[in-house]
Amino acid sequence: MSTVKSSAENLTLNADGVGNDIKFQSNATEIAAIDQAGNLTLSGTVDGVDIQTLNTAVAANTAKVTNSTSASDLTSGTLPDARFPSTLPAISGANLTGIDAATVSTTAPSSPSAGDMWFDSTAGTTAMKVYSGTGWDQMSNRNDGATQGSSATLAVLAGYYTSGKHSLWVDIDGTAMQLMVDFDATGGPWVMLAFKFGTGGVNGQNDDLYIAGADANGPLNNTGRSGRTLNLGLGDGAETVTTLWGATTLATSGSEAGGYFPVYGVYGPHTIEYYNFATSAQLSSSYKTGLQGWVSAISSETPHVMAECDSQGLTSSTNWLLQTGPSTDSGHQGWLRDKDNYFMRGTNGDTSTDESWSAYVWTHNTYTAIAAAGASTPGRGGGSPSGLPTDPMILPESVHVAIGTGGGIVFGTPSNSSLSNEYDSRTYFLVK
Amino acid sequence: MAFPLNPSIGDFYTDPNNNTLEYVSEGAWALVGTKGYIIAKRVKDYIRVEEQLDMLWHMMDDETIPGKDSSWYNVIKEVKVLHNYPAGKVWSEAANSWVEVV
Repeated sequence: MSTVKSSAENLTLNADGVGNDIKFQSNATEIAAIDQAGNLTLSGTVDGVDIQTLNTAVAANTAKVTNSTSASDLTSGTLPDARFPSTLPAISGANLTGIDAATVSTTAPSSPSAGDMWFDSTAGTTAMKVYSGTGWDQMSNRNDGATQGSSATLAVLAGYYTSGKHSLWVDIDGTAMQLMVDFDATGGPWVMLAFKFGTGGVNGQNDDLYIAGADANGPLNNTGRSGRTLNLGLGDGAETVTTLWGATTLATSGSEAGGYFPVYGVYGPHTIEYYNFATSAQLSSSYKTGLQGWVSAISSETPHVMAECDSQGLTSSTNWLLQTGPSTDSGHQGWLRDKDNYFMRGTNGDTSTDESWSAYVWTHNTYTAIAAAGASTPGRGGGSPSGLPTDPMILPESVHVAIGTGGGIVFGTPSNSSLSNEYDSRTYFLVK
Repeated sequence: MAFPLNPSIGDFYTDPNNNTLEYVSEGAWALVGTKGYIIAKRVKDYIRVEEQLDMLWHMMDDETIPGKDSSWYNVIKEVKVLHNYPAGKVWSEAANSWVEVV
């Protein structure tokens, strides 16, 4: 073993002359050197540390540390909560963009533009409002129909009410209408309406029932006719025709028994209006038109019923969808017309016997022809109807009748005891 | 022919059963030749009931028919006297005023 060492004093290795290094070799290979500036160059490691790699990393991080005030060096990770001060500094939002300003005040902003928002901090109100251009509308996601500004479709209302009858603002094809909505009947909610026959051929006792007769010899003018029974299939069994259409017993003579028309004629149009239970008044023209365009179903618990009395089997069978409209024959005919002037024959083929009744019961997708007890089965004319030919016919525009000899036509909503569809002394039907 | 939706009084319509109807009054088509049709035509052509009654009163007044001493005659007369026409004058539609009887 060869050893170069000093004894209790410095050991000096001197590479004499400028630019000469002190070099270390192992097995004739240089493994380290120290230049004249004191820089140490190693081909190996120092106690397992790669001095050269370490030096490079330190140099790179030194740059970042030097620029540590630049947020652009934060390229990943999440600032921990502790890095935020417990009290945030006051920061002006004056230059923030993309945020709609809302005024917070107990008084409305002056000179607002459409779309401006105002948080009304008035005690008891505390609501966000938006300016429509003419007034401030309260903003809410609760469209429960309780007020005009919160009108909702029947489907939405179904989520807010589970029973009862409520006067609500209903979204009818985008228009808010105040209507009575029934949440009790099967398949609801439904809009409650009643017929309101305004002109001609009207029962003087109940204007929700249409009765047209021949001269002074109408559908109810003798005990034989008024005592006939019909079973409409609504669960009430066979009922006399004088109690079938409402809670009030119908008179069998006089103006209360209907409107009378000269024999052998065609009469109408007798305009049909509708009663709005929410306002206790006739449906306005705009509401009527809107509902006629919106409606698509009528409850099977409150079908439309048109009946014919005493046709003596002489009424010609007529196609349900015949668009020629009413004609004269020896019996009676009841026709409906929708808002688009589409005709439907309500009594479309009575072949029953003298003094008998035949009733035709339909919804938007069902149809039944019924004979009075003891009478012949009524015909159904040239066709097999299964419901109304058009949706608007659920809310028809008018009635036309053809009057022959004694007897006549009755049209209205039947009383259904299981539903108790009487309200405001009117028999209502349900649509949606 | 489709059912006329906007008829005028006096229009005719032959229905699908080949019956002829006339539009005799608002909302009413009467089968031509029937009693109801004839009554409807009469009603349309009658003068007003008030004018018919006035004709009867004047017939009583000129004693074409009896009744001049009836209470009905005198009740009507009282009204006529209360609202009497100017004496010796008649109403001229052309002049739109009362004119002397020539």
